[in-house]
Amino acid sequence: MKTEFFKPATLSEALALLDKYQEKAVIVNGGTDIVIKITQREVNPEAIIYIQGIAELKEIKEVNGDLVLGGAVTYTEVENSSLCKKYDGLIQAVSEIGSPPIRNMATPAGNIANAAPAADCNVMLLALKAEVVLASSGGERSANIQDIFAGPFKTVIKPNELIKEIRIPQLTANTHTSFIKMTRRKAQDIARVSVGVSLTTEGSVCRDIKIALGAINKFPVRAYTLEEAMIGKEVERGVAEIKEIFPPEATPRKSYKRLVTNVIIERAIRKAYRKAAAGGEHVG
Amino acid sequence: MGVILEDLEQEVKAIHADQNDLNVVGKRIKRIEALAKALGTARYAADLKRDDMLIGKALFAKHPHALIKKIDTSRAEELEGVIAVMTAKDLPGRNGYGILIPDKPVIAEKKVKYQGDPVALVAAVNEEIAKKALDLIEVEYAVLPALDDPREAMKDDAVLIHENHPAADKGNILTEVSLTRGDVDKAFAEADIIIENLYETPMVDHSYLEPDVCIAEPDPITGGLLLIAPAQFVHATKRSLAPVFNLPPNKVRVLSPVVGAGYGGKEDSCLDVCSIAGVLALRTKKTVYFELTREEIFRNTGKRHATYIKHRLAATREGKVTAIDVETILDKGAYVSMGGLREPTHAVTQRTVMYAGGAYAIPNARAKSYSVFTNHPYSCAMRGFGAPQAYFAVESQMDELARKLEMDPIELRLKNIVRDGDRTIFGQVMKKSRGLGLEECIAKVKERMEWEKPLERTAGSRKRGRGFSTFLYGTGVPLPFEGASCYATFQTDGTVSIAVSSTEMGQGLLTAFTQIAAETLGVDFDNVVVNISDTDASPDAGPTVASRSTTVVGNAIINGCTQLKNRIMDFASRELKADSRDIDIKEGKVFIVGKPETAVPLGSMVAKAFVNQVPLSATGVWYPPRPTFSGEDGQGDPMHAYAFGAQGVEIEVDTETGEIDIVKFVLACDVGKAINPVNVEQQMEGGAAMGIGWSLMEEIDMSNGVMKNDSFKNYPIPSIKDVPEMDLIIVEHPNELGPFGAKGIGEPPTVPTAPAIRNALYDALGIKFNKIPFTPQRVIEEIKKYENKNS
Repeated sequence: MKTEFFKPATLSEALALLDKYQEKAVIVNGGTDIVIKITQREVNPEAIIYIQGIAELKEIKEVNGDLVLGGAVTYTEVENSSLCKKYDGLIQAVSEIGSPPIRNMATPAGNIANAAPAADCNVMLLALKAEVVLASSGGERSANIQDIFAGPFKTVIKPNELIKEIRIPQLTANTHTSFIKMTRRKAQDIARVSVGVSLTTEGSVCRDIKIALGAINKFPVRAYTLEEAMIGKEVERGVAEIKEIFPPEATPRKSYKRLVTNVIIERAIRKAYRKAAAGGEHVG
Repeated sequence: MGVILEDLEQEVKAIHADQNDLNVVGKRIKRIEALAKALGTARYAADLKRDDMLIGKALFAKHPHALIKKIDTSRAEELEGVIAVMTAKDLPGRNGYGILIPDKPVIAEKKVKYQGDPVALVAAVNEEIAKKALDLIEVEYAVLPALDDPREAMKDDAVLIHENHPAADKGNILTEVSLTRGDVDKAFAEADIIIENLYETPMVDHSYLEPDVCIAEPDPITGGLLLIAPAQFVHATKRSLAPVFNLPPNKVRVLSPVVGAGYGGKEDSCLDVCSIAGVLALRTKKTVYFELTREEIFRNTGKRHATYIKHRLAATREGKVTAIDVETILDKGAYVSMGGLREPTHAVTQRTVMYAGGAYAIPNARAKSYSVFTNHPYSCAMRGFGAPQAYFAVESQMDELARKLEMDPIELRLKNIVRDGDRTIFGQVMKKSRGLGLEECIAKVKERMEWEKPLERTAGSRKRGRGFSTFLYGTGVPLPFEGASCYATFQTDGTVSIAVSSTEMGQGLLTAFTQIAAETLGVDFDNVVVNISDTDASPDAGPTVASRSTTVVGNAIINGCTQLKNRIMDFASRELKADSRDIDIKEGKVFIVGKPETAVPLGSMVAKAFVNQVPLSATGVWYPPRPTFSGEDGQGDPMHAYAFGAQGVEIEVDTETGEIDIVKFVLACDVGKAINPVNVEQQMEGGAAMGIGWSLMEEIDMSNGVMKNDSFKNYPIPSIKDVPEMDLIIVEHPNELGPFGAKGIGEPPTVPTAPAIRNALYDALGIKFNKIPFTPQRVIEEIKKYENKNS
């Protein structure tokens, strides 16, 4: 079987190709995961649609205060973008993915579509309540990132859809974000446990918090139980209280992850809180 | 300590006094091949692939232990583009090869014994078709239970892996090596203190970057074969495989371009790829390209022996070790490889016995090692060759003893190390004349570690600890044929060509050999070219293993160059009308000593010699004193010289996650003479990094003979961030028999790291870790166990 290769220059051209080939097409964005699957013949597409040539997907912009990452933006572009700077957790999550050559190629959108349980950026996007804008020839729809994942390497994205952009809501005042992962080695490794946090404080009180867990379940999940236990309390007290509560939302297969998850959560919260304390007016 | 250091410094100055006039040796010269490698223009075997070559592929065993009931290749043969399909019945010669004994089949015929056994081979016009052809081969197996644990496999009722192994001692036990010295039972009966522990070390992969490939090209004139492959021992590859091809060895030429690391693995893996490519090339009469995928390299090629070590140590109250009693069981995997046979080729098994007592003068010793077949990848040579396993046990034991005695671990070691005239447990007398810098290594590491300063122990959940270890490590192989030959040639312009069959695999041998030749002949570094790794171009220099090349082959180069130099000096004495003993060659000039005005450019003197029937080529040879080692009691003089070293580490353990950070890393190695200090430092860094991987994260995971982590995704090796900045100390106590005093340094730095980290972990946490690797998971689990026990 011959595989056709396409490099569309516009989104509509890409969507037309998707319409034509449907599930027989594979979208190659950065290609760092999917190309391995193609060469290992785990997937045997009739058409490869390479979308890095689509200029309209390469933009990072602010729309009504929200941060918008185009569907073909790479991690390196996120790392270097002045607009992304204030999202500390996002920068922390993307800056240690793989190696510089990987980050030069790989993309947040590709990461979402690939849906690896341990994908760092997806965990942080979940803590940031990102929205995924899906385009097809029939129009656009938008989905909350937590509704995108259906299982390990499975999403609800339809065969004729393409991730046009990722929208990250504007951070409310006094909100700070952080990301921490545990790995087997200090670089170029897949997370064993990862935590993304978005913490809103008022003085030393936690007004709102989102805690996302990665590499523990089949896809990233929020630790709602711990979030609820934190909200409205002094951050320090909240942290002390949730220290011993293993988040019921997490269902790790390996007992080792059970031993370290709470530690990583605590450290991620403290990391965001340190930033809040350093930058906020209510320090003291 | 200060006084000892000063004394040592005086001694070292005296030792080096006669080496001050060296021009090339000892200099920090840049690697010859560095630029080409950095630019990507250096050509490795795979870079020589051409479009007109056939592509070889092998179908490997579906089950790690099974009988082959039926193979049907007919559908594969019918596929267009397939040129040949081979099963065992199609082989041209002996269906077996191996460095020590030909027990590994080229293609398995009746039985597969591990995942890496080929059952059928294909040659096709391209890779796609070759892969498709493999899918069309049908094999029917009768599955047998797979053996994972050598401790189980050595039992009498275990399933036999080899029904009729040509060398096996008994059942699945390949070999048993023993060492006895003194009266061990008496020493234990009289001991004040006995330390007893079980240690386990994992099977690990060499993780060389360059994959195993072979280009096999039939020679239409001789009917022979050219094999181009990354190899660590081209002459042995030729000798082991010639019967496989049914060719005499003089019709098999093996050539190894620069190698992208081997670490011992490519001594064997090159046989795996060369045998397959070679038989396909003979069958098709075409050039065949064969390459293993990374997953195949993981599953098929050799590994470091996993070991299970029971170590007992007896000592007096004053801290003098009086005896050891050690039993080691090695996971041999499916084939002998370098695992060891009976005398004199005990190989890795022998080293676990030999190094069971470390760098200490222990009067009574008993050590027994069993090498046992399992359905795992064959265990082979890997940097350190059994020594890292033995040292993990003995250096941990020394730490336990110090703890029990409440004695400083360095002080304890100083009470027990070998000194001039002392005997090791294998009975060899350690001589100052062969270089004995252990004490200096210990003193320098102690100083740089600021050992006397109390350690800042705890910072929140992070705990600090310090560990120490020492080693001695032999240079060369303890085999009766140990030695090397090479060719040295003057070109008629005075430039020099050296031909050696050794391999450049990143260790810097090209540069070191060039330095040795240039220094010996009195020519510029740039006027020497060393050609490597071609069986037709150079005589046998022995394997590029065992930290032996600089020393053993280096001496052969000195020998060849000295012959050339003497011929030219002899000729020059007639030309310059002087006694030949008054002639010297330096900086490319021939002159009468003391009369600089007589200087003649070397090139013109060589050219003149050439037309006057002076031969310009010589065969350089060197043999060390003949190695001895008795299989009966493990006594002998297995190596002519030993490298020594000491290592200190300071670590910080995150007690909430189990992660370990190495915050201080000091390594001192006595190398006799650093021919090129940059090379030596790089060997120290690389070896230590490998030791860190072995200590902290690497472990092949086998279950029922199936490898669970056969890719770098699941098998982490240290990234640069996992390797700390190292404080490296080169110590030089010259070896009277080494080139310019040199001893080997390739493997030793891998040896002391694991026990040093282990001892630091114990220091930090008060918890014993007797099983490598110390992954965060293992560390946190042990911490939790310890907390539960103590709460």
